[in-house]
This record gives sequence, structure tokens and C-alpha cells, in this order.
Amino acid sequence: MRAAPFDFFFQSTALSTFFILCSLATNEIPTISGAPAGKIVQPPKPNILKQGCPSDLLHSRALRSIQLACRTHPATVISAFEGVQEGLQNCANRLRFQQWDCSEAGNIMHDPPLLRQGFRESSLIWALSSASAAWGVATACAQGWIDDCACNNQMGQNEYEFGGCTHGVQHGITASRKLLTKVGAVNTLLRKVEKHNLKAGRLAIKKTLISSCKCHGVSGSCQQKTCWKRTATLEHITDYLVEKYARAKLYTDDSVVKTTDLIYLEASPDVCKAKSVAGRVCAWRNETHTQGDCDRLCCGNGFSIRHEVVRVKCDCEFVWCCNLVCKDCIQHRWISTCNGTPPKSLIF
Amino acid sequence: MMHSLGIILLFIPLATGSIFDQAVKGKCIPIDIELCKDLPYNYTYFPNTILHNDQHTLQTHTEHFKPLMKTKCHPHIHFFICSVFAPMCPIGMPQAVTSCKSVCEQVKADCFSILEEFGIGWPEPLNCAQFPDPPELCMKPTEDEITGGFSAPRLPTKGSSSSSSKPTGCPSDLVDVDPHDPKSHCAFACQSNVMFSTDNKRMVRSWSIWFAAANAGVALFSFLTFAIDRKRFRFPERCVFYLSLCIFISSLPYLTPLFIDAPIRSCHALGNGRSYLSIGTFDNSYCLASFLLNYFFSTAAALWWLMFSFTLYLSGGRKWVPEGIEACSSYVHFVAWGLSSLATIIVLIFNKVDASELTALCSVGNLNSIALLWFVIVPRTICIVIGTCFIVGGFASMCRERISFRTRGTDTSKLEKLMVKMGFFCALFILPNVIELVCQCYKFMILTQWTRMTIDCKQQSGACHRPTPPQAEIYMTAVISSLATGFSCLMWVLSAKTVHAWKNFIFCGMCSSAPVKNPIEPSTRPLLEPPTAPPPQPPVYMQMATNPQNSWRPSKVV
Repeated sequence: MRAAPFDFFFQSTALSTFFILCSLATNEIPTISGAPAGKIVQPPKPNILKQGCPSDLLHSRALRSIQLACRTHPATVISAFEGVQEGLQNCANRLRFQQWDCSEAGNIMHDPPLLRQGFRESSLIWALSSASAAWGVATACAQGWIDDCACNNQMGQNEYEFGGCTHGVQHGITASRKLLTKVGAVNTLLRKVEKHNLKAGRLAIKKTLISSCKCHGVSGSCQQKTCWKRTATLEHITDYLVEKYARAKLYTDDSVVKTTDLIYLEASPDVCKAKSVAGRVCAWRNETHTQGDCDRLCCGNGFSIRHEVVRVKCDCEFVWCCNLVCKDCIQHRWISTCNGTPPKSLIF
Repeated sequence: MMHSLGIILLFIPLATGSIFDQAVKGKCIPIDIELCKDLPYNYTYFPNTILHNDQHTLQTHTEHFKPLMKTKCHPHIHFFICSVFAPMCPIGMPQAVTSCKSVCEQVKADCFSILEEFGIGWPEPLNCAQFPDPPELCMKPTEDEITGGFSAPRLPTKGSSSSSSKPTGCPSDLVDVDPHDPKSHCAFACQSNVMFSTDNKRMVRSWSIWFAAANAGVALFSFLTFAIDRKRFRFPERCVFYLSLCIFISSLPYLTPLFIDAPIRSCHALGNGRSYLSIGTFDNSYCLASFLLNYFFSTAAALWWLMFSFTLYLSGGRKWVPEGIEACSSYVHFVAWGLSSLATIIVLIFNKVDASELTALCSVGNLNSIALLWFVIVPRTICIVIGTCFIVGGFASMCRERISFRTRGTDTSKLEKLMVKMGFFCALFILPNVIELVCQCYKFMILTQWTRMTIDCKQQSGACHRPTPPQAEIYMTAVISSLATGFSCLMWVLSAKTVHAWKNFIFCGMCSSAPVKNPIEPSTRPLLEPPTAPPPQPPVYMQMATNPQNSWRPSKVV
């Protein structure tokens, strides 16, 4: 059972890599057979969405709603799962130089151990998973990858031409709520906190919506204007939730909390005792910027600094027409890594 | 070694994992918008970050701009619009590279008037505020393409073919008056900034309005003062009467910016919707009226000043009496009005009326250096030189008279006062004219260079590279100097007599004018006509003073 997540991960990785290679080869062809004449080239539906749910989602025991949705709407479940994976990666990037960095949180659809506790870190994972699932379904809906999306059901192509895909956002939020909310008669404090944080994640999607408008008329005049809402980038949503995570509140029975705030039940464990920090990148510096605090992150074990020289292109200028002329610049970087014995889990 | 290999194996799959990379991450894709497939570049950046639109709507959105593209109001309108909806994506460094802000400003300057005719504002996606400026990465045609290039049927696909193509017409910012005539003019586009910037125009127009208003006011006041008190002013002072009239009327065109827009009063429209500054055409009646008022009456003003100097010479140098000069006033009028009419008719016959880019007013010599030389500089110079000679001669005679009077012990204060007034009047008239002539010579020099590179561009074999822009301050000095001659008329009307004259005119009119007139004449007459009796014969002088009838006889004898 322990190897199951890695197997699925390798399968999706291999399939995605193969898919990317096919897409790159396809994009080189000036015209694509079957594409509508005059239409913009659109990324086709990923193969992973056509195959149905993998076995770990199909037989999930923690979230029974996922089992049911896999039989009726597999593309939606897979989009949500991939969205959660994307969100966890963004979280790891965002908290790269903090002690806890989202790296071993695990996907919410696999019922990881972290989500059985009421830590502050659990609140972020709940909210981020909920938001990422909604974002993933909304993005797949906007791309036309989900057949049961509201755009295709109601207006067909007309919806795309005049109003964009406004319903994708609501569809994503609805899918996230139905997929990730546990059902059952158990009514514990932990379950209450979980529901609150899941809702906070969905509200984060709503709070960060972007309004897009388009003008119609002769020569683009605004004789008629059409506006719709769409989701922000997942990086922006992750930043929003990380700010909420920094201001999360301890929940007690008599506390009053907003629906957009994150709440937790117990203090966080000491990261220095929970796992080894050996081999972690604790700081990063170039000639103009510095990030990270190694003394705090390495738990006092010390760190080593590696100097890197990177060639980058800079001072690019446009030459008519149409070339970019850039200079070759040398950029110095100093990467600090924590000392200590590397953990065994990194060895395959 | 094993550890680093393990780390690499672990991280590589993470970088290629997500199905959303193609939908969210930017990359270069072939341009698939039908209108933009003939661009010099083939790849565009996706998703389009400028408009925040999904790919479904880009094609439809671009169709809205098809009518604007077809107008070809700017040589790069097609390229500019496509750079918004399909920005260039350099292979190897995926990013959106769109047009520079300066390109947007130029396209907007040329194309906004067409949209305005249909009641459409400038489109939101083409708002110039959102375009980058260097050193940010942006696309901009080279200087030859924008300022000195030529309108090609389509954008060139190769840089070498573009640079080696021969010039076949006018530059892009000039208007070909007759595309079929290889020697026709390349006129300045209406409201374009070929020689002067917008700030230069605004500065000159505001200053000229103020000076024209002051000049016209002073001249009108002088004219009315002369009109209500005609008998007080005789030749040569009466020439100033007509001079102030001419100065007043020639100042009126400079006030038209207050209520007539520049394109209406200075531009000529072609059939294809483009308009240019008038050059040799009479279709614009405002332009023609402006030229007639300005050129005819400014020429007449110069001639009336010449007549003033001539009559001053007759009076002061040749001892003519006012009655004698008035007997020949018809010849004076004939010369002043006749010569200015002749000059105006010649300008009209030769089609030398043109509009100034700086002031948006029609006159002579604004865009033609030869016309400026022969119809403005040479006639003015002749008037100033001859008039100055006459004035010097007249003043020399009056100085000799003054010296001879002083030796006899006669009071010469009134003669000196008259000489001072005449001196100030002549200085206040000559000095602005000399300044204006110097500035006109500068204009002639500038026009000689610019005409060959702009208006006569089609007759040049090579590319028309423009000289350094002219100094707008010198042009403004010429305009202001021409509007400063009215102040010289004040020398004749700033006196207590003027106050009395206006009082009588406003309150009583005819009743009290007679009593005031009588005491003035005897007091001024002896100074103008001094007696020539020899000092050794005092008894004869005493006898004449006692008899009023005898005082008239010696003047007749003289």
C-alpha cells in the first residue's frame, strides 16, 4: 500500500510527459486536421482525462463521494486531483524557506496522516486542497475538457463566443464541495474545523476572481460590452491562503471566527524533532537578493554554501523585424544547504 | 554521488507533471488569426496576457478591427493591431512582445480622426497607457520606416527588401496632393507635427492671440481718435490714421483661433478623407479671407508708413505746407492702396497662398521659400530702406531749422516736442519691422532646406532625410514683431488733446468743438512758419505785430 502513491505518480508523470512530447510535435504543424478553420489552436483534452479514475481514487475509502463521482464524472475527479497536486507544488515553492514547507503533506484524496490532526498546518492543507480542486475543475471547464460543464450543457458554442465561461468557476466550487466534504453522522470538533477550513478555501477562490471584459462593435468600440469572471492564477490563490495561514486562529467552543479565516485546534509539533532537515536548501542569494534564514531552518545543525555561476540572457532588445538581440550575462548564486545525515527516504 | 542522482531523479518528474501546464503556462504557438497571418513574425504568445481573453474569442475580437485596418490611416495600422491580439513570441524565450507606446501614439494621432468621424472613441484594447516603453522589450519600426519611409502595399517580410526598395511617393506623414503627377507637392498633413511640436504650436498661438488683441485694440483706439478729430491731424500725421486702420485689420486673422478650429481655417480636404495644410489652393474660404486681411493690409501698412516718411520729408525737408501736401493726397492714396492691391493680385495669380503649420493661418511664404523672399522680405525691405532715408532727410532738415531758430533766440520747444514724437513713432515702427525681417530671413533659410526634403520630396532621387527642426522661438518672434507695430500709433494720440476730443465727442459733440479749436491754431502756426525778418530792423517787426492783417503777408511772401 505504501508504494501505491508512487506508482500512480509515475503513471501520471509518464503519461503527461508522453502527452507533452506529442503536443510539441503537433504544434509544429501549421494546420491541425479536425480543428475548426480560423480558430485558435487550443490545447486538446489530456489523455489522462479520457481514461477514467485510477484505482486509488476508484477505491478510496476515506471520501466515499469520490468513489461515486468516479463512476459518473471521472474527468471532474481527475481534474480536481490534478489541481490539488498543482496546489501542493505551489505551496512547497511558497514555503520553501520556512521550517514547514508543505513537502510531505500528501493529497487530501489519499487521506494523509496530517489531516487527521488539528494542527495549524492542517488548516492550510485543507483550505489549499479545497481551493486547488475548485481551480482545477474550473480551468478544465474553461478549456472544454469536461463534458458536464455548464457551458457545454446550456449554450454550447454560443456561450464561448459571447460570454466566455462564467459558469466554470461555480462549477469548480460545487465540484470541490461535493468531492472533498466528508459525509457521515460523526460530528466531532475536528470535523467541524475541517468543514470550516474547506469552506475558507472555496471562499478564497471567490475572493480572488478576476473580471474580464470585452468590447464589441465597429473597430473595437465599446458600443456593447460583455464581462465575465474567471479564476486568478493558482500562485495568487496560494499566496492568499498562505497569508491566511500566517494569521490562523486557535479554535475554542466560544470563539467567533469569520468564514474566510483559518482555524486550528492544537499547537504545531516541533519540525526539528519530527524529521531531519539534512540536505534542505535553507537560503539562496544572488548579487541583489537574499532569501532564507539558515540558522532557524537548520535547527542549529549548521549549513554549507555552494557557489554557482549561471549564464543568463539579459538586456534583450528588439530588432526590426523580428529578432531579439540579447547579451550574455554571468549571474552568481550562493546556495546554502543544511548539514546533517541525508534521510533514507531520498534513496531509491 | 548516489544521493545527488536520487535527488535529480526525484525532481525531474515534478517539473513535468501537471496537465494544466499547457493551459496556464505561456508558450509560443503559430499565429492562427486569419487577419494576422501575413505578419513578419510567425509565432505568438499564448495565452494572450494583454487582453486577458481566452483563445476562443480572439478571432472574433480581431474581426471588429477589420474596418479600421482597411482605412490604412497609418502605414503600420495592420502591424500595430496584430501586435496587440497576436503579440510576437521569440522562440527560445517565450514571452509576449507587443508594440512600443510611441508606435501606439503615432497610430492614434493618424487614425483617431477617422474614428471620431463615426462617433467612436479610441478602443480600449488599444489604449496607449498599457503599452511598454524602452528599455522594456517592445517592437518599434525603425526611424526610416516611421518618419521617412514609404507606404508599402503590405508589410515587408524581409528586412533587406524593405531597405533596398526605391521611393515611389510621399513620406508616410505627408499627403500626396496628386499621386499621378510625379512632381506634385507632398503637403503637410492636417494637424501633423512635421516641423513643430504640439507644445510649440500651443505656445505661439496663445502668445499671438494676446499680442493680436493688444495690437488691434491700440490700433482701433488710434483710428477712432483720428476719426473723431480729423481737422486736428493733417499730413503727414494723417498717414498714421490710415496706418492704424491697416494695422487693426491685419491683426484680426490672429484672433480667429478663439472661435474657428485650426483644420477649418487652414486645411484642404482631399477626396480620400485625408486633409492637408493649404498650399496653392483657394477651396478654403476661411483660408482665403485670412490671407486677404493679413497680406493686403500688412502690405498697405508698410506702404502707408512709407507715405508718412515721404510726406514728412516734404514737410520738414522741402518746406511744404500742409495744404500743399493735401492737394496731392490722391496720389498718396493711389500709391498706398494701389501697390498693395497689385501685390495681392500677383500672389493670387501665382497661387502662392499657403497655411502655416505653426499658427494655422494662411498667408504668403509659410511653405514656399521663393514666395517668402519675393512677396514678403523684398517688399518690406524696400519700404523700410526708402522710408528710413526719407525720415533721415526730414529730420536733418528739421535739425538745421532748429539750430537756426535757436541762434535767433526763438522758442523751439514745440518743434522739439514734435520731433521727439516723430522720432519715437518712427523708432517704434522701424524696430519691430527690422526684427521681423531678420526672423523672416531665418525662416527663408530654414524653408530652403525643409522644402526640398518634404514638399518637393517626390522630385528627389534619394530618401528625404529631414534637417534639424527649426527654432520655434524665432518663428514666434517674427509673429510677435509683426503684431507690435500698432503701439507706435500711440505716440500721436497720448495727449491731453485726445482726452478733450473724446470728452467732446461723448458728451456734447458739435457744441463745444468750435471754441476749443480757435485758440489752438494761432499758437501752433508761428512755430511751423517762423518769420524771417532781420533782427537789425526792430521797428518793422513792431509795426507788423500791431496790425493783424500784416501778419499774414510775410508768410505768403515766404
